[in-house]
Amino acid sequence: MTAPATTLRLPTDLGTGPHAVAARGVVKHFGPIAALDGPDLQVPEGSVYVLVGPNGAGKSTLLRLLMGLLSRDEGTLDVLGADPHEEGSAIRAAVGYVPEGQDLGYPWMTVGRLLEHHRAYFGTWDAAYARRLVHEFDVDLARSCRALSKGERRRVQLILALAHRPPLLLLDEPTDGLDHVVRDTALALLSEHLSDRPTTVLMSTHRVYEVERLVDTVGVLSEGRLLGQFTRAAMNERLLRYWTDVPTEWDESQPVDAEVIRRTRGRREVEWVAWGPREEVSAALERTGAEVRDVTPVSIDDAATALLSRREVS
Amino acid sequence: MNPPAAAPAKASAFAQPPTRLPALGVVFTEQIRTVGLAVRREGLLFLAAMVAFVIAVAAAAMVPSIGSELIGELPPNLNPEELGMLAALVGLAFPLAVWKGERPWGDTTLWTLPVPHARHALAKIAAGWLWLIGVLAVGMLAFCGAALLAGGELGIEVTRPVLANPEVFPSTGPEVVSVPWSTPGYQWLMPFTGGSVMYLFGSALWVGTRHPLRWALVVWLTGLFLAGFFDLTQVEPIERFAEDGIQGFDTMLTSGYETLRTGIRRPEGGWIIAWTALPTLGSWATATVFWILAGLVAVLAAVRRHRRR
Repeated sequence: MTAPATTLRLPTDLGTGPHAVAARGVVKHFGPIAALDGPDLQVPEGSVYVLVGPNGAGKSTLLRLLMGLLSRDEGTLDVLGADPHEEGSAIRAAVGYVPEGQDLGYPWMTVGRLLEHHRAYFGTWDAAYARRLVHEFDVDLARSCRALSKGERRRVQLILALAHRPPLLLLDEPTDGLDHVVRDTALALLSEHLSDRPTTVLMSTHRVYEVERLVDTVGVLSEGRLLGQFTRAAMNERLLRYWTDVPTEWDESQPVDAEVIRRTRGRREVEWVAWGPREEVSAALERTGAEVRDVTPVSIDDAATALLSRREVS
Repeated sequence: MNPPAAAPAKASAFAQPPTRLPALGVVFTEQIRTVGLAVRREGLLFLAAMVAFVIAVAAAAMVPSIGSELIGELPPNLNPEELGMLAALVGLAFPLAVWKGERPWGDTTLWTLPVPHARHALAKIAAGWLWLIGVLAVGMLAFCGAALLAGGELGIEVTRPVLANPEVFPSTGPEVVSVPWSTPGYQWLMPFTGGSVMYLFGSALWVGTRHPLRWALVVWLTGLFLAGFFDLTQVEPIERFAEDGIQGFDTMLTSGYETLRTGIRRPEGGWIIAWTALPTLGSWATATVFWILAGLVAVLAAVRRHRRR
């Protein structure tokens, strides 16, 4: 597999909105290290936006900034029309948050008491829905939080995030620690929540394939910078895998006039993942002497892997 | 995607619903319950220790021969001046129990809830203070019970040796007069006020610094160093300032039980402990108000560091 060293030009603008979340030029340093280096993120209202990126890309930092848990060094943030720096509490009242870690905070509490604790804080808490979530996630209210496994703690966090029926969900690795059955339950409940209530979801995950069926917008973050963000419709139309046959003596070093994200060479076959109008990309590939045999869609997971495996990006 | 967002932002189905933030009373009540649960185990252990203490004193009082073997001679009367330091230690350590499970400089659960961080921290500190008063009350009741069971009384009624001319002592020799003294009512408040002041400073350290134990050590070592430095410099205003500071702190905690007493050699030989002045309500109240205000300022400065996080 080779990674083209040219500068990749992916779309980074999702239009004028309305956006439930908008970040512009946000910079956040931890000491000398820039965790975020000015990404312009736009999460359209009602979308399920997945943020992908390698470890240390700045995904969790961005979510913590949006929750008002950190303060930014530069840039602007808008969450449901408010700035988390100024109106963090109002934002937290309207957001369901699943943090990266599974720490529930109060290990000496029972799960039932923990839910009561959160209920006191959220005026929109839906008790009947919370009971249903407890039942669906098979959570024992009498158990001490200290005694819960990693997956059980994640289930409790999902209940806490959903039960007050927030219009915005910020989910950091929401399926981390869940087994297959519980993960399906969680995704079904999330899906149901989305159809019941007008909700926007911004989630960060390494397991894109687990949530792929829900996702309609993708953002790719690397080293604190946004490589691109696009809707699934745009991705299906423009981000495609091209299967080409090439002559034995085909020169792979020749330039290609297309946004090639990944190129994998076999003996007489080259597989390309490229961004652009299908006809234009096909024509560009054929100008190199390759013959386009087939064009197939790329899953979000594959797209993320391809984008993040590029050696040189900007 | 969910229902299409065709309408303008303000009118869209996703427009933010009216925000319902919890009332301060709700937050405070919830923090009282949460802190109560956090300190429950330690509180029960403390209660058990106090009950055991009272039972041991009762047993010692009933069977003096065995009791004195087990726990030694008991002071017959309870002097609240001697409880100030103990209450101060409890107050200083209490924030560790109040903030159990929370990391004020991390992504603690407290910060993820819909309350401004500084206000939330203040609510938790106030809730913790209520529980501290409860713990101190239990401790005081236990000591009172133990004193009564041991055949003593609450408070002391003694004659205290007082230096007649403390302002010129020791250059003129120890002229001592005997002054009758009985425990004034305000001294029963000292364990509560002293414990509260130390709780405020402990909370300020815990909430306002990333490494509270490290800072506590730094403050303590700095205090020791400055005390030694002031002692060495022998510069009158500095020495006076240091003495007044230490005396003011002791006045707040014990009404001056440590700093108002001094050892003097009698002309006929031997030493006695005499008082340079007897404690007064005025000096204690002044010192207490000063240190409570200082503690509150420290707490406000500490929570202010979280105001926009």
